[in-house]
Amino acid sequence: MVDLRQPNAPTTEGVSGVGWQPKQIVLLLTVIAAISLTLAQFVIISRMTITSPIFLDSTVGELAVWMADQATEEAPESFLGQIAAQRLPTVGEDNIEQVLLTDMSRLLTLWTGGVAALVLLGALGLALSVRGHRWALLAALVGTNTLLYVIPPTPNTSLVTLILLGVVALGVLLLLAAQSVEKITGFVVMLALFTVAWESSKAFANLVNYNITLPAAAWEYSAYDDLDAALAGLQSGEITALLADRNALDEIMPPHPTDPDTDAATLAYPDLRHLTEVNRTRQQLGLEIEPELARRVSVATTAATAPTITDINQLQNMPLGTVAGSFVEGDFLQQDHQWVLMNFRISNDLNLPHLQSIAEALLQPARRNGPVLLLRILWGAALYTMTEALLGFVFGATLGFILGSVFAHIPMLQRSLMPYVIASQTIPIIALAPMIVIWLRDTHPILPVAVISSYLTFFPVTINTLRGLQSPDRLSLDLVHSYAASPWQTMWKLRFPAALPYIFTALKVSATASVVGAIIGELPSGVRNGLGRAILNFSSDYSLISTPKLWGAIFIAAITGIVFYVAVLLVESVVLRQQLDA
Amino acid sequence: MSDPSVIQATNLDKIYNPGTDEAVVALQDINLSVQPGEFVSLIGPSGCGKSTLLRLIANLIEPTGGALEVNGKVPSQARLDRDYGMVFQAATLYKWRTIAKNVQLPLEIMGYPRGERRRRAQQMLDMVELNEFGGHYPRQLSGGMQQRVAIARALVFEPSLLLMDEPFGALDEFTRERMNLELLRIWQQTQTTVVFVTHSIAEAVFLSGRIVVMSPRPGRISEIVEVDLPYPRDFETREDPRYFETVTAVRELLRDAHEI
Repeated sequence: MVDLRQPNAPTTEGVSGVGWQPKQIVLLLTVIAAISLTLAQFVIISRMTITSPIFLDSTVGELAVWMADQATEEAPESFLGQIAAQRLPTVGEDNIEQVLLTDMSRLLTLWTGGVAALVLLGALGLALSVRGHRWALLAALVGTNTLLYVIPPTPNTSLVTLILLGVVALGVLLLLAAQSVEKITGFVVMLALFTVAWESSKAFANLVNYNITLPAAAWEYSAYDDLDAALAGLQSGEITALLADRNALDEIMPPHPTDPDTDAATLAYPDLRHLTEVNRTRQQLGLEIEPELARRVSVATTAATAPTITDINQLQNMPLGTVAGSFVEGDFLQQDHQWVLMNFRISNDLNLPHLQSIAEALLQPARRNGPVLLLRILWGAALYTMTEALLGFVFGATLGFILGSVFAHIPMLQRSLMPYVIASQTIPIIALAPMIVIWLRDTHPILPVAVISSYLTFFPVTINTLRGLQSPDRLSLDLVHSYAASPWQTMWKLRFPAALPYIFTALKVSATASVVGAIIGELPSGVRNGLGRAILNFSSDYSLISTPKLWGAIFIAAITGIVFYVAVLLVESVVLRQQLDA
Repeated sequence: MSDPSVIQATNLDKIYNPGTDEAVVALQDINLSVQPGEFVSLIGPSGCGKSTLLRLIANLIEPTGGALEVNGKVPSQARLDRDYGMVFQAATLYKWRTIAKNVQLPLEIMGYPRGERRRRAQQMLDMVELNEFGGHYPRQLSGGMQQRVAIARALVFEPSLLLMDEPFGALDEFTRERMNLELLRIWQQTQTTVVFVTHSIAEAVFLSGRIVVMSPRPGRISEIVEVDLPYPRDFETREDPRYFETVTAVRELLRDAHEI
């Protein structure tokens, strides 16, 4: 062999030394951006006092206040409460909140200071090509990213914007500086960018008005001094329809359509009709016009006209009347009518809370002033759900393996039973779950949930076991046949090892499906300790307090699924290490 | 054991899908006798039934007519008695087993004790000169090495008969010639009877004592050629005039067979 690396040959270093390459310029700019953004964060946070609103609203600030509350209670149950209570004798009940707030603000300053130091260290390491600079930058990225969960995005401060930009800069820096993007770096960077995208989409949605309207013509109407005058006008034919308060009309005229309980003869205006089922949505060319007619407003007309009016859009060109100064006049007829061309809002605090609110909800008591943090309750629920899912996973995987093996060996059974196995998956689990709960009512409450979970689990395992056991080629089968191997030996020496990669693929699908199955299974089965019940509870109350809790539960459920998946992945990497190594 | 033949085929027929429109006569009226210790090649164009004949001997398929005996027994009994080892076109090593474990596979199926399995596998790997690779996995070995493992696996339980179905067909010319020498060395060392299917005339002439030339549609034996070259053979054998004569003779026979 000839050594191509001759000592005098020009090296690539010589080429790059001539001028700056675009990548290096971007890298340098990113390094400068990351350092200045991180330092700016540190300066702002270190200058915050414990009375700054931004600090008091932050997750750590609120946590300090809550810990102070806990400390003054008798025998606080939570861990953080106990820590606070230990400080109580030395500082006194009056000062405990101040002391804890000071501690927390120092912690936050220390945190951002550490992040700034890591960024400087990483940048220095990068410049000097020291190994391990990537770990410093990675830690800095995680540290900065955490701030997004801690600092409230209050208006008129640039801090959150700085943090968002800082995360992006560090992420880009890591992707650019890395020789090759490894799993961990890639994962952390993507996670960080996800949080940035989340918060930015909120900021963006607040800035952009998704409500695009055109002015629409208001309705012509005559205003009467009082209701009696208006009704007289209606009777005389001056106006065709009267818009008035529902309650006022209720007492004095029969409704349309007719109500058998009402005796028209006893009412003051038996020949007028109060339209109770008229369509209240105003439309033009299929698009809505705002405002729509409020529920408390009714339309009155004569008995003869009543059947012809089904929609308030028909009233537009009729002589209309109302009572001057009434709710109808102020809230509907005199309003600016707008033709809504486009109206949607993708993120408000109700459907997409800030990450900070979610983190805060997790770190606060599950019930108002309760002793136990939501995170701990959800953690317990996740463990419970995981138990159910594990049981369901084991049931389902075993059943799936047995079915797959039987089908692989008896083609007649495969042909005749496979359609039912497939059909079983087309039945919505949500419909079947209550039945399973009723059948297994008298057993342990966890059993029906496990069965429901296994219902989702067994299918992929069946299909892939079957496929895997049939995967050996003709020659591999001929080989064991030539050794006169028994069917049992063929199964364990050839078919099963060949099927393992297929089975593990199915197990990975099933692992996440089993968690979904367990959560769905909890809903009808009255299991109170699991994540399903927690999600149900929080979603039933859709408010600014409950939504972050719901999101918290969603995240915990997702993490539970991931934990399960990773567990299967680990087992796979041990069992199939020979086949997975490239 | 009045009949000393390892393989005795008499008026052997094989029809695929008999009794249907798609019926194909793969082999017709095959008469062949192979003696112990012989190296016999089956050669012929594709579709001449040479692989079918080998699979009949191995009892991987059943004949439709005639008689076939392997070691004086019906083929199914010979298979159950593990009378033969087989090497296929592909090495068919099990990728989840190490090389040593792959060689031990037949012994495991036959219920040999662990120590004996290890000893024999090591001995076989020594023979095919792969003793350092026992702990490797198949994907770490080249095609030629994999095929040598397959030969070691076929011989590990010391069968009296080795059936080889175009074992070197997928290898390049150089590797193939080296493998041919290797095979002759192993054959002489183990005293096994070999039935070798190939579509290479040079390979058949170089290896065999007798060459069974087959012709297609329907598959039958057109001629059996005796190779007049002394064993042991080496690189110089390929330069022997008798080698060229035999190659030419077989080529002409094959051409004749094809023109029919």
